[in-house]
Amino acid sequence: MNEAVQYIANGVMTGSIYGLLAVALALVFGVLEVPQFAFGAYSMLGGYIVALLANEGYWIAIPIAVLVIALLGILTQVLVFDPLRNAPPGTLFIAAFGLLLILQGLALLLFGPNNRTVAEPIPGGIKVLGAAITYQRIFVVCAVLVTIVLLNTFLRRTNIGRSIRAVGQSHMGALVVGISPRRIGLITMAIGSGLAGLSGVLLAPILQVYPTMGDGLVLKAFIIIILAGMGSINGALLGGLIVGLCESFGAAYVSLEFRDAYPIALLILVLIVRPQGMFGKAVRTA
Amino acid sequence: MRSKTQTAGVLALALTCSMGATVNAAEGETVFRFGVPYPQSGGLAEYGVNYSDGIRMAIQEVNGKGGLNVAGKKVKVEAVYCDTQADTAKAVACGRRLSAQEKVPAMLIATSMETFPVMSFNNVGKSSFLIVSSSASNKLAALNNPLVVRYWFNTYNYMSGFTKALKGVLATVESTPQTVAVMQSEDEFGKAWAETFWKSWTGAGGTVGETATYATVSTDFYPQLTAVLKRKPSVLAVPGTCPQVTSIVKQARELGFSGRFLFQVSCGPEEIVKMVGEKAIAGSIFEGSEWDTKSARLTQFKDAFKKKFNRDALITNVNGYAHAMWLFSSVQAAGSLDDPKKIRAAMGSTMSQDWNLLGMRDLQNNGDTTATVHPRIFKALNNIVDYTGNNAQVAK
Repeated sequence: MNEAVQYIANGVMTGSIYGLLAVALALVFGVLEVPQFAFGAYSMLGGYIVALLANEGYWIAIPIAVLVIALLGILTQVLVFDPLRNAPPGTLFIAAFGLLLILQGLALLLFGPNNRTVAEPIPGGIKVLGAAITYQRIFVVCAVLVTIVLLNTFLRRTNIGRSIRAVGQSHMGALVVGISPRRIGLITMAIGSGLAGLSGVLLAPILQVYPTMGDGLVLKAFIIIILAGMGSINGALLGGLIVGLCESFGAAYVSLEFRDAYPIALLILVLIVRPQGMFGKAVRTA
Repeated sequence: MRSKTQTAGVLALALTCSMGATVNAAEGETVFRFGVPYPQSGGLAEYGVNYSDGIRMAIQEVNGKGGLNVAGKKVKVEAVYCDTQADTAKAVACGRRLSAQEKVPAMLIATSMETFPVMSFNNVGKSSFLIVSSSASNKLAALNNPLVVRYWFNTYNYMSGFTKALKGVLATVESTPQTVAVMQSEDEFGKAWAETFWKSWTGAGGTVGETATYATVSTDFYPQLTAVLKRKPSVLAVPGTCPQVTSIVKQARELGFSGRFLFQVSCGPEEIVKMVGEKAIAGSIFEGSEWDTKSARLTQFKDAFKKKFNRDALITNVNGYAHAMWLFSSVQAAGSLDDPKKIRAAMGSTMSQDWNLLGMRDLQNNGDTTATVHPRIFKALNNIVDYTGNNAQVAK
């Protein structure tokens, strides 16, 4: 029993970070159709900002990091993805992947190769049914859940949020009713980038910060958005939790060595049974 | 006329590039160039930087004295670096490039992950080259490659003596038998360490608990730790590079592990304490070596390193330094800049020189060397107990 609770706790923490990054990807892909691989690097940069501002305090570093990464998102949207808006999907993929490599290279040059650590702002932990859970990990899960609730509220209750959803459904339709898809694209990229940065900010005190820390994360996030169904925001979060738990229990009861293979096996299974993803809607094409 | 001049220029350039020893046109001096494929980025970057800084120090020392004296000629030394990103495929690409394009007669390699892929082609064809490696795996010697030498501690050679000494040490400080669980990196080094430890520890009458493997790029070890800690081992062995191991220590404590850690020889207490503090590793066991003695030569090295890099020297720094100095002194003794066989033949005779700061000895035909490893118990940074010799306690 104790072990099972520990595996659930491990899986939920990892899954919530996967889920947050997957939500960012799903949002941007849903509206802009950009496979933003560079979100892995944005997550890493979020971690570095927190590490650099460690002396100023973790809580001050959080909004600064999210804001800086959101601005970086706007900048790359203006300089890279907006000029490529009519390019074939393959070009966008290459641009996003190139951006990931450039940002990783820059991080290596600017911050050096040594891993950075960030002191936990909430040290200590509790025992829940025999499982050891640190307060920091509880904070990460809560922060992700609150963020997703706020994002949902924003997308459903505000004009800009509704405009984002409208552009996600149809660019042409949005133009007809007077919404500028380019302006909405900038806002969406800023929000998505901020969320990606936040994932790194939350991870920094738990793990370590280094230039390639986002590689594995963004790969899992892509698996999750396909698994969940493209464009499904809440599905992405649920998908993240499912993948986290799948990894945790697979590692415990099947084999540790194949930990990274379980999400892919699950993805293949879902695509066979439900090609539109777990929470996606089937689309008929003529 | 112009065309002939251009052709001659191209030929001269091609000839220059094709030789291991090159002539620096600007200064008119001969240069001995050697390859260093090492992780400049990726999960082992910190380890790679420490290793290569040792090499840089050796280069500065030799060139500062005017260079090597090879067959009566002054020769400067120069490293050609290549980033392997701690990836075997990239290590092969680096090895190929350094061998085929740069024509280096020798390479210095820090890890098993890079050594074994490059070893698959170092003794083939005309572009053969010598490898000085710090792989800890016995496989290096078992392959009997005539152009490979080891400057590091072979787990297979030292583990039996180390575990016997460790068993004795733990018997004096613990009243109950100690079960050791192992967190093993999924590379050649991790495999070699865990296998030899398992054999030696059980051979000495000890019990080995769970073993879990992790990828060398990991930083989240909760799944592995949950598995290895479920049977409550008293010691958790964490053979790996310091940056990764510190995360394991931190996360194991978070999961309630209260026992001792066992660290391998390249990860010293100073490095660990910097990241997790003294309290987290109180009572832990370190593999100690010549590096932990206070010889005058080591003190001199540490002072020189601190002056150059403005930080304390680590065993990985001295490893890189010794690799380079062993190569340089052997090039000088062989009187050859480009014949790896001649350089290899001279390596046995140069081991007694004062660059050999880790006390490696007995170079064999299969490239293996020997050194003693002893247990150390960490109480605090200024209170580490070394158990050397016949298991006699020598308090620092």
